[in-house]
Amino acid sequence: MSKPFTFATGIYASGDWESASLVPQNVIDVLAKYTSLELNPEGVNVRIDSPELFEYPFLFITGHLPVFFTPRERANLKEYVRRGGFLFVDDHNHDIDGVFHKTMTEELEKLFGKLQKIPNDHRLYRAFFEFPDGPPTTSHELNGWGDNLVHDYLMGIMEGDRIDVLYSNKDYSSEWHVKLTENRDRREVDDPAKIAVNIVVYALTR
Amino acid sequence: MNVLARVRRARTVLLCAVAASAILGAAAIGAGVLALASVADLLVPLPLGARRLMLPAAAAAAAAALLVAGWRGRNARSLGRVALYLEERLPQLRFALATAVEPAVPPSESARQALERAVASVDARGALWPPVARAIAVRAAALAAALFALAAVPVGTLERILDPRPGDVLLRPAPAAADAPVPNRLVPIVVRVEPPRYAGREPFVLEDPATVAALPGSRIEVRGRGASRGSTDSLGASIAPASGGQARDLALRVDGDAWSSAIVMPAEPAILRLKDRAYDRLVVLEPVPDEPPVVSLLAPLRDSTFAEPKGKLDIDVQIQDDIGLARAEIELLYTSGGGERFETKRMIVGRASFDGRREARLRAAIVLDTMGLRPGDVLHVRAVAWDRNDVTGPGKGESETRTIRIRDPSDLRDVNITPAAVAAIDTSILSQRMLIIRAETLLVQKPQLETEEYTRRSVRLSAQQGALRQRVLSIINELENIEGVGFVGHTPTSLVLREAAEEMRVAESELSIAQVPVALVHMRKALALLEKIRDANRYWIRGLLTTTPVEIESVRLTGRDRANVAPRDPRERPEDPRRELLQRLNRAIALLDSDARAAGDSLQLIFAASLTEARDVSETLGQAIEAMQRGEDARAGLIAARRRLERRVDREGTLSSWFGTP
Repeated sequence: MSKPFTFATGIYASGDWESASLVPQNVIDVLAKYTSLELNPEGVNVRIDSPELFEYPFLFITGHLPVFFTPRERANLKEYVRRGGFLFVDDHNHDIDGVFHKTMTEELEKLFGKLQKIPNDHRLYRAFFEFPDGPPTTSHELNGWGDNLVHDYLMGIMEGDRIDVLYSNKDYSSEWHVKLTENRDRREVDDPAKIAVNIVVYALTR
Repeated sequence: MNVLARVRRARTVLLCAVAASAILGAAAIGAGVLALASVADLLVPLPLGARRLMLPAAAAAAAAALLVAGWRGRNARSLGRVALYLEERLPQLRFALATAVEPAVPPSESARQALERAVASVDARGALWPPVARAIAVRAAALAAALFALAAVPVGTLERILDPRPGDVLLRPAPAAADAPVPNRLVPIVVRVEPPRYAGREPFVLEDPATVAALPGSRIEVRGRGASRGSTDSLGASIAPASGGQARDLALRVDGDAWSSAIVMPAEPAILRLKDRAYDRLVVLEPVPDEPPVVSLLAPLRDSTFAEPKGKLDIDVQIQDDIGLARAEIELLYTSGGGERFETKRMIVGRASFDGRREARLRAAIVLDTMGLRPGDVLHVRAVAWDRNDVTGPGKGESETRTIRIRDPSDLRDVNITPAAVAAIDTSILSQRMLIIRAETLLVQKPQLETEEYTRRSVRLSAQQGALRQRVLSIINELENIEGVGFVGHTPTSLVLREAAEEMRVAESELSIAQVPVALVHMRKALALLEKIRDANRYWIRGLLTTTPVEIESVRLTGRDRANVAPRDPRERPEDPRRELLQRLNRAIALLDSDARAAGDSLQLIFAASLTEARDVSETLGQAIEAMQRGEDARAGLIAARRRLERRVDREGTLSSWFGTP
């Protein structure tokens, strides 16, 4: 049975899954602005160790703190991706040496194998808006915060060309945690908003 | 020579004859048992266990024969019996010999001389030697016959009986080739598996296996025979990953009539294919992974939020490994900071080496007061252990991670921390404990109380229990509901509290009918549940975020940027390898009647694939294949495997789909 798209945020036992609590409503907002996708007006927070997870084909996980999944969380996430679920993990730290990055990538690689760089000409960057140079830069990167690096690629677990797990070190969570279209410089605001649309559209289409 | 000397000499002869015939008879029986076993093994291969019994059985039979012969010849030790033996064969002695050897009364000199003369007048030569020679000859002939039979048995077969060991199937003589001058040299085969050194396990041998299960890194040697019969060019071995991929040829070594090929057990399942002219044979290599250590954090048992960074945190870790542990450590991650700035420090608070033990405990304690923890800080505690695997490892096992948070009152803005009515639970515990004491006192006083007074007091306790239950229900309500939102779901604490409330309800009911002893059981259970919550959570429970709905229709398609809008199809679900396996299994089952050999090969390949794709089916499938190789009907096993594949495929379904064009 078809359902409207619901933005699902993953709840995990360790760390701070709730660190970007405004992301769902802002992403839903921008999806409504640009797409005719049938949308659930409200995001859901779903425990990643629960069977409820399988209700949502798109799952967003973020946080700053170290992440150590429980065995049940691991098993559920693995099964979720195996069944075709799309997992998007964003490091809220925008720091490549941060503990979220270290522990989360360790967890993901334990579950799914080595994370790969996603080429910047991947169709993810053409799924709705065009991003000829790959993932848009965030205001944190432009301001030189965190590790003072511009991460010019995203990473993922891929099956051939298809992305099953998308991992971002760019801290889109911070961008999307603020109201995307209010009182922000256009360059800072629009590109991160647009990549959110691309990620969701890519997750839902082939 | 006087009479006594003659009888003594006869006794010596008879004793020697008894000994000789006993030894010869025992040897004949022992050799006969071995010969019979050899012939039986020649006709139908005897299992190793049975063959291992043959030599002891032969020895036991020989010993028994020896004992029986000795027992039967025991009379040869007695002079009187020897004399009677001779008398029996020489009736003309008329008991002169027996009388001379064992006189009833001491004879006079004249009587003694008369007896001597009577004995001397009889020719005794034919009485002793012929029966002795006959007895020895019969046993010697039996021994010769048994030895002849043994000599006629092929050397290999005899070796299988005398020195049975795993893998000696190659010693059996090859069957006469009915349709080809050179028989199939892939039957039989023997596989010797030598586990990697770190495992400390003994090598083992398998005969004619369809599957070889061993630790990755084990040395596997496949041996066969018949290399001296025909060209060895047509003999070959190759290995290919079970999941598909390029096959790799293996080197073949020839030594006389024996051929062999060696390989190291890969980390992934593989198919070993042996070839001899038109014959081929598959052996599935099933790596049995060396499991990483299992690390269990016994304490702290749950995540906790501390109101203040005070007290001692005990850490207790249990570690187990299937082969052997190398070392373990307790890791502490201390994260402080907030907003966009977090700092994490890693500390090791306990470390130990185990030198191959399979089970161990590791303990440590952290004094929170001395750590300089501040509100909002987070401690992650976990234990990590490594095994001794130096081939594919070391295997690393990690415990679950416990998160210890220090409550930050200022963080309530972002994170809905529900204080979970600290005082309410605490006072509930006190009240429940007090109620139990009152109920116990009432029971003690019962003999001195009138029935009516006893009932009245019990009913009053029932009312107090009811009031306490209402307080617990209000805490549950507080935990499961958010003001302005309503019910947001159960929490682990609310679920335990519900159990406690249910116990209180039963206690309340029992007290209302003056069943105090029954009520006490439930009151104590309720108290235990309340205490469990206090220990588990330290009262501070992270709540659930509220979500804010978006007014979609008011913002729909108001975006200003142009986009790449085109019709799109929903994302496809990835291929399900189980479904593919199911289809292959169905095809193999359909082949069973028309081409059993092809079906067998297919099933082995499916089995190998199942080791990676559908582990829950492997065992059933493997048993079915083994049954087929024994010539039994494997259909039931195959159908069971099919059902298992079907059930999972049907049950899983897909994730929910969606509609609308993005």
